[in-house]
Amino acid sequence: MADSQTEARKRSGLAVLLIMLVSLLPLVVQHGYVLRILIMISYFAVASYGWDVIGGYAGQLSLGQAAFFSIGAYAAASAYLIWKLSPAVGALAGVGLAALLALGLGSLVLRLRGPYFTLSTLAAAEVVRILLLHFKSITGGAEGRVIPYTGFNLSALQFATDRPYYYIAVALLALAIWTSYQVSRSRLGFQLAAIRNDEDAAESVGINLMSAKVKAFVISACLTALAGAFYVIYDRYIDPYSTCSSEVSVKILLIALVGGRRSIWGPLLGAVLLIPLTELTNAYFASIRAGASMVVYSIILIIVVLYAPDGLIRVLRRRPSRGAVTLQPGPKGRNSHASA
Amino acid sequence: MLQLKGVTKSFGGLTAVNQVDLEVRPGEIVGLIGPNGAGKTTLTNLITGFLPIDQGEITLNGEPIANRGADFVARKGIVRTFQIERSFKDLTVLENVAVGALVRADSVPEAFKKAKTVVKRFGLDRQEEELARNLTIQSRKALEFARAYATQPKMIILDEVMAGLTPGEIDGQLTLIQEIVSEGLSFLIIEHIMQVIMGVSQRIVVLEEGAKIADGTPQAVANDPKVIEAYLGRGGGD
Repeated sequence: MADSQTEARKRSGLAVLLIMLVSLLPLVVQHGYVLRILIMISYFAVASYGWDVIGGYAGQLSLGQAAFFSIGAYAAASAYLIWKLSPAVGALAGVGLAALLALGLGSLVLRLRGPYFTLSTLAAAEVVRILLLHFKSITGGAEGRVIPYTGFNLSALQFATDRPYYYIAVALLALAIWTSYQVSRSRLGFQLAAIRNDEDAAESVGINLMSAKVKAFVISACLTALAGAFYVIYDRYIDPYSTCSSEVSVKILLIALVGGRRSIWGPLLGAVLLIPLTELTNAYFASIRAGASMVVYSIILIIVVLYAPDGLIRVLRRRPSRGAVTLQPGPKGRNSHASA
Repeated sequence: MLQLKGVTKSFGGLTAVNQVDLEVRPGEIVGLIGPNGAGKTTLTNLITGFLPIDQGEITLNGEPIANRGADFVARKGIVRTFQIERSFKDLTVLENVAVGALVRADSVPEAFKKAKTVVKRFGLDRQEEELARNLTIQSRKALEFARAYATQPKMIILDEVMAGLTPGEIDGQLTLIQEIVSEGLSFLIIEHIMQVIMGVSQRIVVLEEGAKIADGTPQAVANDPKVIEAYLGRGGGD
């Protein structure tokens, strides 16, 4: 007991230190571009914590998070540009819409196991992009939409410097980390742990697979949509290719994989490593060849799967491996219970 | 308590379970035997809701439970172990059992509290922080049994949990089963080790080619000519 108490005290001390460091950071960081990178790290980490709920905890590899990211982004942008509402209201509506999509889509495709689920999420994101391109009057089509900057305006979430955006992004990050932590120790978290290990065994102890998986998918969609909404509020530009491409989905997934799935700090670590790297590759290779970042992602993925399949956070902590090391979730032989 | 009437299941042209009637009463240990391919595991899958039935009915205390899904049956109080064990490999022993306890617990901490006592009772407490994947097959089978018991069921179906155990370990398991039965739980036990099943069961049900060919005390079943023929006719029993 005393051990866990000092442990808890150490942890809360560490948390206070972390909060102070994070809040003082923008005062120290003078370079605008560095602050921009920190903001990007935060919102991509939020999206990635979202992925981790369905892809990590539930072990259902979603390759369609871009769909939720776009819904959040387009809701925030449209609320402001078309209905003259605060993009914050749009963000909340986007989160709601993403939850509804996850509920509807999940109820259909979460019945599928393994690669079939993954392919359906990939297809769903493609459909969302095609719809975004089609409904030009609302979305602006392929040209996208620019949110004009009209000076400091709190309700429009427009600020003269990047500092307020940084604090909003960090607050969202804190919310995402808290959500991940809560999921990991909740009833749902243990049900998901059972499901990703063995769906039949999970059912055999009374777990409703669909209900648990759909809940996880909805939570995942909400966080990812929130990240998307913040992205457009911050960048003030949106188009279907930059929010709803498979590159976005892969990026979100890769951040969690590299950092470490099912970990409170894994997706953040992944974002801290990958986002600056993406920015660098974009800066150096963009003029040579578009899509260079995808090549870099692929190389990173191969290295991580080979040498740190549980993510880098577990390499740092030297904790014994825990969690399915393969990319392929679920039991190896489906329905093998019926074969004997 | 558990009642099967005319339960039938076919896979294509093969009738795996054919018109089976079966009853298991509270606090009863029923052994289910039969040659390989007789339909024992299929029958288990039908009772526990892992497979839908084609004909007949399965009721638990009068309530139909067939074709409602495995999670429904488990919540109603019939749980199982798997012939090829299916523990949650990347969870610890304690977490495995806690996931079982969760179905009746109001909270996660309560489930862990319950799991603690179950783990101790099943003699797994020294390994409770160990990941299931690091256990021997035999320990994992015991773990599955513990996980099933932690759901606080009315009936447990054990599918060959004794295979590979030493005689001493088998005795331990049998004692445990007897203790649990005295709490009012029932067992349906599938086992190939004849001495074990004959010794522990109050009643034996014999399946052959999907049909029930005998149902009675171990003594009566062992002397039943149909049973002897079923086993010897296939080149001797085991």
